[in-house]
Amino acid sequence: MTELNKVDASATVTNEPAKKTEDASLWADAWRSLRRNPWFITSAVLLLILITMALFPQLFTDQDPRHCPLDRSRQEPSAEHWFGTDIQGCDYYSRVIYGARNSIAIGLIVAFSCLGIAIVMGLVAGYFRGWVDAVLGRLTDLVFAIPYILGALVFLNVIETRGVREVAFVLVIFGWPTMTRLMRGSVLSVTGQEYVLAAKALGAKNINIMRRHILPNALGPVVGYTAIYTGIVIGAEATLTFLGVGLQLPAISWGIQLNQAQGYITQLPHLLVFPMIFVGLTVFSFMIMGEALRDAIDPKSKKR
Amino acid sequence: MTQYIIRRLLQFIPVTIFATLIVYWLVFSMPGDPIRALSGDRPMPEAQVEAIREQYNLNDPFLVQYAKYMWGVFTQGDFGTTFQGRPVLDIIQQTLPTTLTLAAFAFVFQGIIGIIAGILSGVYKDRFIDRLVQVSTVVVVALPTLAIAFLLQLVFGLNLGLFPIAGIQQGLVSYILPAIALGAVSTAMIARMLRSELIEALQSDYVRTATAKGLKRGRVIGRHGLRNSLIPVVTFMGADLATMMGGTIVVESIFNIPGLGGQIFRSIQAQEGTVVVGIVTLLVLFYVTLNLLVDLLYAVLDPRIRYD
Repeated sequence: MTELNKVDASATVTNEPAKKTEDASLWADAWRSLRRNPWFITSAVLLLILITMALFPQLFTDQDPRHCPLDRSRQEPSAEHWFGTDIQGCDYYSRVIYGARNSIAIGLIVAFSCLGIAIVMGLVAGYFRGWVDAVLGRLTDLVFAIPYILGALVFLNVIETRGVREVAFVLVIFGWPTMTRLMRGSVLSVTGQEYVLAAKALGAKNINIMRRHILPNALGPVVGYTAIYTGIVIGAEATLTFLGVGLQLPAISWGIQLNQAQGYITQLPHLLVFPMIFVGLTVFSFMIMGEALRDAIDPKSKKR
Repeated sequence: MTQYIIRRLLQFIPVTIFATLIVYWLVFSMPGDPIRALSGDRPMPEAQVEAIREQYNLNDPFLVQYAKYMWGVFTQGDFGTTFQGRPVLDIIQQTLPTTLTLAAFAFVFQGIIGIIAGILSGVYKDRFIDRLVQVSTVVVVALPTLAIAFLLQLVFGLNLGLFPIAGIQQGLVSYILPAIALGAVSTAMIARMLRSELIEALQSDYVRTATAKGLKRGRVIGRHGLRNSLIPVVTFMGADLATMMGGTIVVESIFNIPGLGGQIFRSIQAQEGTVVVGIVTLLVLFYVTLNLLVDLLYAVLDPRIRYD
């Protein structure tokens, strides 16, 4: 249940005691169906490994990824260097392992920032409607008019030194509208329910209605999407870094590894293969986890 | 219907203006002075720098620069000139056909494979073929285009040697792998979407009536079930043609294809702001127009949309 709690806890810290009882069955139901879902089990195991890799890369390798003697450059995979060595002679296995941290960090930072924005903006726009909703609608139209990768490419190119923070910031700017729109729709459908009307009739304050009645019930679809979106962001980060506008050396990143290995595809294909597998697996795990969560929390969405 | 079209058109205008304005502003706030870079080691006389700045409207206030530029785009199809004196339109005309070929290949690929897979999976629900389609679509949707492209390049290009790894020297064969990479995710999404629509349609009353009338199974599926199920697929494919333009940047860079996407990438790195603005403006216009058309098409196909 660790993944589920993680996603849920950060989103609803404020109203933990209030919703414990009414919510228990929803999450318990979700957990029951998740436990039987082979896709969920697979992605949970993979994510556990990948996140451990990001937090404690030392557990997986005792080599130093920044120790690069040129005399051992361009070695094929061997018992000593499992993934071979790169052009500079760095141990490629340790570099690929250490690459997990930046990718997963950017993925989680961007996804949870977007979730935060989506919760606040979605609640305000969906509950109060009015001008906030109108402005939000136009703003999302605007961001949607610029293709994601294209917008991020042009924006990132303006920033001269780009670290995790800068890349994450730009991805949030182009990413928040999707989730906000989802949250708004979800809030809108809950706001029309009788129990909200009842709470209003009893004279409850707006802030309390939103916190205790709307948020817990509107959060379902967004939670699953947060995990899917983490996967999308990790893919986008690797793509942008590969194109040369994302993270920069000396950062250790799969995108940079792909970029540098591209020129040696015929001579040293292993330099391309390993970061590709890791990017693919990481994005895959997050997206599968997200779809499993979404189907479990909101079975109606399974249709698509 | 007329009212709906007018409302959508009115929304279209400010969105286009702001989107292009943002791009214009971002590109021209790129670090570095292109005019100084033009002259190389020996600095140009001040008067000449001034003349060039005047020629490219660099002395005007930002909004005036932008207005002049957009005026040129819409009245004369003039996307500006590079600082080396080559018209941006020239570059677009040279690279666009390649990208369109690639997009067309991808579009046809995802249409054919996606629809066939969706029909098989929907008609033979819960059989082996359905399970196969479901598992493979889940996997493909969850992979980034970057990884798919490299995987295809390594397996089919390098290992099996069936297709060229890079470039377009070998004619249309060179487009196959990039097109599959570009269309893979959408193919899987089309298959999934069609499957669920078809399953729903085949359980509906009008399909039961058609079967009861004694129509053959193939005709029931083809004329009655499939027809309604294809509506969302068609609109999805329209919208997807627009998103595909973003994907071409990655795919063209990986397979080294001299198209529009690759050109943006090269121009950004070479700091050719005018080329970037020209191409991005074109793509944004294309994207917004296509989305508008898809919305209108949707309204034509599905009457419920018009009356909201």
